[in-house]
Amino acid sequence: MQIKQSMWSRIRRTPYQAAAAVFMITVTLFVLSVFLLSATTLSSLLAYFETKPQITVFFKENKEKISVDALMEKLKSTGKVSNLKYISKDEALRIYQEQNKNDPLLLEMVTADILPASLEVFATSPQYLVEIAELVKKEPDVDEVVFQKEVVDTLISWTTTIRKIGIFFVALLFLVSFMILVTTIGMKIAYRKEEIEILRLVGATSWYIKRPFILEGAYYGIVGAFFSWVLISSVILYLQPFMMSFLQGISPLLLTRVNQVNIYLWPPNIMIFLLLFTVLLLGGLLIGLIGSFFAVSRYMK
Amino acid sequence: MILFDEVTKNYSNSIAALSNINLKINDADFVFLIGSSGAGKTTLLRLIIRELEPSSGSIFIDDWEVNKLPKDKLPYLRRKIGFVFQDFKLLADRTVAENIAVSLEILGRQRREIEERLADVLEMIHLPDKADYFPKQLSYGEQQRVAIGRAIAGGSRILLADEPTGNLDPKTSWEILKIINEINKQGTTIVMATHNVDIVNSMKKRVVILEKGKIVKDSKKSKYT
Repeated sequence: MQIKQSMWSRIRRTPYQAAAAVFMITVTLFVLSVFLLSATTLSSLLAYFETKPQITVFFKENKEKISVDALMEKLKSTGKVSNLKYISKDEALRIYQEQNKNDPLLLEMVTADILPASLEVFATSPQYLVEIAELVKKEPDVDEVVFQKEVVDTLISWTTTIRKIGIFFVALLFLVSFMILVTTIGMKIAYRKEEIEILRLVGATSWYIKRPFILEGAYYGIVGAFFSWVLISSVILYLQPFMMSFLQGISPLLLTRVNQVNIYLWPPNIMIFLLLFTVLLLGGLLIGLIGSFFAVSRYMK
Repeated sequence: MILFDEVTKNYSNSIAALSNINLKINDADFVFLIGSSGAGKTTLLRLIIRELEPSSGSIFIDDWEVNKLPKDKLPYLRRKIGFVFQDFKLLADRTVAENIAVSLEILGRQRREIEERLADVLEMIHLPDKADYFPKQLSYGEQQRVAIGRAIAGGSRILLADEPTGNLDPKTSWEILKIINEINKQGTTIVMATHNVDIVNSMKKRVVILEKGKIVKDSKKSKYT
């Protein structure tokens, strides 16, 4: 009871230092969660696309229907194609309208004329994608070929970049949070030097004296974790409609499987929010405890 | 029992604060340490709780050789000994009750046990109605009583007092002395450093006189003039 009271009185005495420590931990953990979510989403997307051996062939304007049929026949004869689906301009418009039914402005701006017809080619295996793409590109009526390898390569590039930037920023912010926490706790130790001396003289153990300072650091970590969780959850929910549109057509992204239970990264669900909270809480505690342990061992010899 | 065996304490400037001190204080003794400023009274008390280490010689508290105790055992030594300072050394942001309870909390006592003991101690130091006051709200005499309460709450068998009446008027000094004397009657060993000759003379207890770091007189119930 006394330890909690003691911790509270310390926090109340230096509210600005406490706020600075909590603020920095919140920012650090928020940035950590942004990069974690970005990296895991891209990784899941990567995994998703790798399981979909698909090529989309866009045709030039005024192409001959015969040439499409010929191409389809040619592809089938390779034996490396499992399915083919022709999407006409009208069909493309219908898909576009369905995808953007909630945005009348976008619907008004687009007609069937400006949407290209396309052919979706599903390969029997991802390894045939390059071969099929090269074959299709040689056709005179073909305007553009988009196949998953390109998407996958782009995703790999993004994921790698985000990981590198994320590690750099998170490490930097961890360091700043750590320094602020060490300074905050260190100043409090200096401020309470006389009290510490009195406690030593009346027979308090080293742990009894250090414990409130360590708990204080852990408390900052927990509060910072909570705020960052609220912040990142709000951002996820705010961006949900946009992301729904962006990831349309993609089935739920699986993050992991624990005890026969699938935890999906997308769409947002209670499990992912709980998992996020747990990760942030552990991160907050880690910063708080390491920072305060370092401070007490540095300033309380 | 407190035993000093050939104890010398030199500070870094080679000035001997204490020289070849041999002193035995039995359980439940009441000993006044007197002498002018710089005679070594405070040094002697600080050696007992190992706030200082002797340059040579040994100090024993019961079976423990104080100067050879490992550092992690120091808190346990200090729990055996209550210390009352001239400047009280109370925790300013804690109430009277919390200041006294500190010495019980460090012993790991349960809340109920603390409350029971607290009531007894507050009664003993005549402050039962000021449990929720902060040190700043008390007179010097009351603050010193709180310091005594904290020193004895944990059941220490030894009470060291360094000029406990140094900041107090004569009437308050006598009140403090009465409380310390009561504690002694309950079996606690008292070692008290003081300048107050009136108190020493009227209490008729053992007196150890220090001069320039040496014991020049040690007599039971002697009159110091």
